[in-house]
Amino acid sequence: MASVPEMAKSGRLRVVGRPASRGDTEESAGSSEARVRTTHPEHDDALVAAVLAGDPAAAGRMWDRYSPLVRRILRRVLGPVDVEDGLQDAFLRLFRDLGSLRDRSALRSYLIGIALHVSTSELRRRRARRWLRLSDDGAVVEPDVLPRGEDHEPRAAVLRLYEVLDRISDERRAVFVLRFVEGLELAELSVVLDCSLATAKRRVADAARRVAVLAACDPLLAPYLEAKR
Amino acid sequence: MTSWEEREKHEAAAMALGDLARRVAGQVDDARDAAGRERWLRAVTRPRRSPRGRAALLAAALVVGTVLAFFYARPPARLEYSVTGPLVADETWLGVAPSGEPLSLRFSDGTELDLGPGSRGRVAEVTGDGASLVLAAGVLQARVVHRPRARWSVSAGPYTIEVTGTAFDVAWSDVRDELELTLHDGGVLVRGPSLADGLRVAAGQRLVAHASTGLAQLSSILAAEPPPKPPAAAPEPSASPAVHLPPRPPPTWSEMLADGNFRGVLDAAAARGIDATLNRGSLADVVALADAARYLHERGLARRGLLTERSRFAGSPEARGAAFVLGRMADDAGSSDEAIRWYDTYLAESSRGPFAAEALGRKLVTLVESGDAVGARAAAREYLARFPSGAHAAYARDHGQTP
Repeated sequence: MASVPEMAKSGRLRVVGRPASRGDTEESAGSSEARVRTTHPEHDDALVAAVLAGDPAAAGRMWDRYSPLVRRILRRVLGPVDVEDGLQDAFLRLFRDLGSLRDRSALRSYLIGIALHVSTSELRRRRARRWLRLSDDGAVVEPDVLPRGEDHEPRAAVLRLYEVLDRISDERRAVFVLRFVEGLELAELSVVLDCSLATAKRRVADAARRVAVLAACDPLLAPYLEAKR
Repeated sequence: MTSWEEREKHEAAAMALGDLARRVAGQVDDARDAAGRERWLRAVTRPRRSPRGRAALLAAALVVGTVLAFFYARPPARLEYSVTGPLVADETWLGVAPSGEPLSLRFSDGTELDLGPGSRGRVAEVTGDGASLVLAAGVLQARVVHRPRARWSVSAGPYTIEVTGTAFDVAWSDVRDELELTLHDGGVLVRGPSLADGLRVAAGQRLVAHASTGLAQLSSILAAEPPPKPPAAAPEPSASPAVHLPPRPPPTWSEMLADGNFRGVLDAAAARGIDATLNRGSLADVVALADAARYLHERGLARRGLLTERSRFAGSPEARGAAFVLGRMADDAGSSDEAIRWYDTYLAESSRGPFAAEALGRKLVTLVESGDAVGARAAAREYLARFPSGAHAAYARDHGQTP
């Protein structure tokens, strides 16, 4: 897969400050200032129509276009764990419900919503497992899937961040991840959360406050906040 | 600091944490991705069933549906719930230490309740449709999943909050007889003194009600202004049906800390006297002072606070945690020997504590960097034995080999 800078040089990318409305997929998400997206020649509504018509090549294109986004959201909500089963689950749900998607150009937001649903179901399962003590301490992270060669300091801090996220509600966790890790604009966030823009803003502020205060009092995370001050 | 500045500060912190999360992005295994793609394509391009097959499927679905209807017609099974977090409990009550982490109650329908630091409450009743909770004092954050027939209630003093599905924070002070309710989503019905018919509170609203006077005030949670000051003279009874509350006492230091008001904690400690606080203050205040000082880079003051936690409140969870933080501070200051001593202290006192892996990992790094190869190998072996998948495992493997 070509990198974002390579694609930008080739003219296949455009940089926008807000999510584009159709046919676009993020290649690299996260910056709150500018987001880089690829523009696909085939619009989402045409892609959806082709998949519904039983075109296997279109289904493959849908996977290629959106599996990186769904995988990334699953990882970012759940933490550094293996998410391939969740990815399958999300795409099977998508296929099952694709016919009921009214605005086919809103495929991206629809998929983010499915990814969130899959993630929160998994979080609930984790809590049940923890409650049933199927693991010693209910540990939810599997550090082995963190990339090797990374400095252990941020690795430890990321694991700690997900322990902090375990202490807030699933909804706050999803809002925090979508806004501050994934970098979704408020407008798209309100679509994904199915709420008004004002409510989305309120939820973002609430999630930010909860996570920031918990992190500020945490010996492992506080240095990352101090470095930004 | 205004509420807007607070909000910006929290969002800047959240962005910094988002940056951190993105720094350790997972890798995509191309082979697994290809296998996943094939699996998905096989699933979605499976041949459709024949009409006869569909009829058989329909018949099977009808049988399953009948069985499900039988089960659903029965009264719903009682919800189950689990409690996680540091618990201070007597026979029926759940309590959280003033400086402790919130206590989480997770119900099987997905409803989440968090009991805040210094709070006390109990689950009075659990049914298939919800539960009744009693908040004796402190703060409860609730996120109730909306379901048909859902019935939840929270009693706080003489007030009762009836809920079907919503997210809200409720605080009850049994000292001030004051209820503060903040609605994030949905709506609730509140009953209590002067609210006998019930007051409906909607998303985005805050209710502050005072049981001893029966006064209540409903406002927008976006309003930045503080609660109204008491009138200089008694108001005319007919002037307004609305209500003025007595001035709220200043927040505790723990509350200020929870709100991220670190400077406020230091200012309050300075006003009271730092020595007086350290020598005679409560554990909660000393912890708040040490945490606020650490956050504001007042290292000397932070250290004094942490050492006070250890000397005056020895044996408390806060005192044990302080050993790890002191180790980190010594580490940051380049005092390897002192850092290792504190890490060892923490590990001796809290071998399964929340920072055990990090303390042992940091001890290993410090030993390696100070050139103590023998000590480092021992620490590496211990680390790998205890935390084979921990964040420092790769580092331990690199430094645990005998040359």
